[in-house]
Amino acid sequence: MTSTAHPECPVLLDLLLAADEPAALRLTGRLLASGATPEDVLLRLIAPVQARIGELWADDSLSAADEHVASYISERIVLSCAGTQRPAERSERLVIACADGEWHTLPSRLLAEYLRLRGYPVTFLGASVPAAHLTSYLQKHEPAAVLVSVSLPVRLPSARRSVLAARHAGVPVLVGGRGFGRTDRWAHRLGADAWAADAVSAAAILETWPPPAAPDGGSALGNLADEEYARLVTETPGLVLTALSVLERWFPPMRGYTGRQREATADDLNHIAAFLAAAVYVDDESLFADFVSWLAGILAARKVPAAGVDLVLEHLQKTLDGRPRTARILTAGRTALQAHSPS
Amino acid sequence: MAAYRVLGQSLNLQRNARAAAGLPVPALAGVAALIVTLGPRRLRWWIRDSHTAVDGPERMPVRSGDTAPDDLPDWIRVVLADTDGPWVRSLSLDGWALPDGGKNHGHGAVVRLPCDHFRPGVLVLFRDQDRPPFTDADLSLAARYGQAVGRAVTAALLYRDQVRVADALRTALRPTPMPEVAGLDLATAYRPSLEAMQMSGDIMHVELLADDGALCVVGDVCGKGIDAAVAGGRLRQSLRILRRVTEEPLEILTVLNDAAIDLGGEASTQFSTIVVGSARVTRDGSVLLRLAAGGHLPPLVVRRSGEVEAVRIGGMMLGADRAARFAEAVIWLQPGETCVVYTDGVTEARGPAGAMFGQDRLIALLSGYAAAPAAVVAERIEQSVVDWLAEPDHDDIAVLVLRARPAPVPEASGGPA
Repeated sequence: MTSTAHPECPVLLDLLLAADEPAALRLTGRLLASGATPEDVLLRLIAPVQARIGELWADDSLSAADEHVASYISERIVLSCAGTQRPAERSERLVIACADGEWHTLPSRLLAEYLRLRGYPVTFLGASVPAAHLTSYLQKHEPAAVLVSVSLPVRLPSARRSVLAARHAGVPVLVGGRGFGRTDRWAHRLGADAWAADAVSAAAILETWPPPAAPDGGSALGNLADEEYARLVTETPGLVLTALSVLERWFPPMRGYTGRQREATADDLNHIAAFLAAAVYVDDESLFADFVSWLAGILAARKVPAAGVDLVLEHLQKTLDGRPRTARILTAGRTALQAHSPS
Repeated sequence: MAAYRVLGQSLNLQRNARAAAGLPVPALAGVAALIVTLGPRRLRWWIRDSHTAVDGPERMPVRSGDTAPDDLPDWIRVVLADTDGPWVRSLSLDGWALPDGGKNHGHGAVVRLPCDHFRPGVLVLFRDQDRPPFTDADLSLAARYGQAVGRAVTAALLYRDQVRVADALRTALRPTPMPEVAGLDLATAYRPSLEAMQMSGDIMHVELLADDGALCVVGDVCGKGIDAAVAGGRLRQSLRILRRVTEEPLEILTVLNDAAIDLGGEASTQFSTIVVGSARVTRDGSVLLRLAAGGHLPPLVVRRSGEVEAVRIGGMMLGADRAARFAEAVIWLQPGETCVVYTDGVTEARGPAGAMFGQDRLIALLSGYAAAPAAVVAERIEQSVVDWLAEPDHDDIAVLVLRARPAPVPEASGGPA
């Protein structure tokens, strides 16, 4: 996030990889006792180590289960940091929620504790909060801001429902998390009042809260009028089935797959369709192109030929013919794939 | 007036009232005050006063405060009490006091809010002396506005009362926090279905036993929504009392069954499936589980190897027959091993093309999490099931994960001390 990583990062990484929760808590406890600030532990130790964990998973050095255990221990450390000091001086209550379907709670938990350390009373609503829950919460409480986090761009449509719930209740929304990309454009397209790249900038933005009202008042996403997004969502189950049969026919490795592997492939296809839909939703081909490059890297680490992905994209191009935005985005995806693995 | 639209947007009393007091200023009046009875001895007021505007009408604040009825200016008390009087009347030049202590000299109008049989309220509007007095057209506009305000405020008050009732009920029905049990790693996932105000007929309950073990209960009352939730709450309450008489899972089940049938009488018997278990940590760190069941889905035991065993206990559904027979299974968990008890909201979750999540998918998932902390296992199950769902609406989901704590890792030399 900011400044340099903490010198103890390699030590914590090893402890997380060994799933040694007590030792990890002892390490951070010792750092705090010997003068490290909780901010340091949150932003210079946990955040970079967790980013490294994600990379290790991506190049197949770590199983998904091990990654979950590591995140869980990191979350325990975040909570233990917060226990050390907790000044609540400000009157503006903040509410932090992951969008529905978003299960990565560590980034927003980190943000919650960081803002608590800066004196805000914070309510953390947790993982996967349906917009209906947010609405009913906001009918009862009067926070100064709703903070919505997503870690994957596929949750942008869901984040939009959270943003609208907050706007309808008249509470300004700050959004962030990796799922919103590296600039504020998707945030603005979704009608959020503000976007923050990380915890530090979120705190800076909240210093002059609320921001001036957006001119379009959250009525962006005019691109949805062509219904390409809605059609894609309803057609996804069928698309996944036909893509599976295309792979079975033209992608030789598929023939030796076990039932489990087949299901994993169907999951991957659902993922491709979801990212495609998210790109159509915010009308940005770079979202899909970045995903395809990332996916190619993941598959390469697992020794799966990227040719399968290209077959799928080609199949989608043929099937979804006659939809200009979807076509443009799929083309960008195939281009990214070629750039990644020149055949 | 655009006011009607804004007023209808929220069911939040504070926001509605602020909007109601804020919107007439400055177009209709220089000062607007809303006074609403919240209870027998409680009133709250909201005032927007254009004289207090510092930097433009945008930033003009709406102040609010609570007051006792006795502290209200007399003339407002009279209007509040006059439930049969006219909806709107004009106020002539005078020093009209407001609840915040301010005095106003000018032309005014006072509107009684409709629905005053429920909670009386008034809206007061003032103009400065140099502005023209309220015409008949102004008064009729004020009356119409007062109707919209009355509807919005009444709806917000009714909603607030209902939410209080629902919250109280929900709090009583929610699982209580897990107790700390030495040697046991406990975690839960609990997701009531989206319908029925987030109330669940799934029961999940863990409490300490007299000898430091834990009594664990996972149950599922047939049906959905508030009725099932209330029945579940009754069942849990019975459990709390019962376990002070016996800590034997089988005996607890038998007595619960008798009670369910007695209580139910004829047609109203509430059927439920249930697992009642006791967990005791032994000296070597392994855990002895005794699970008694009535018609519930088989708990799953995750061995250190990643092997998953379904524990078929059998037993009849609770409330089905006075002479019901229940069964018990004994399971040993070695340190690091896990037992997962869950309700059918997990396995019967409907995914793509109507397919159920199913026990096989759950077993495959668990085998990958053999070494994981209980909290990670519980969260992963919840996540996988919710991701699986094709429709956002689902059945109640409850998962209890019991894990024998793994032996502490000996501190590596050269590592952090």
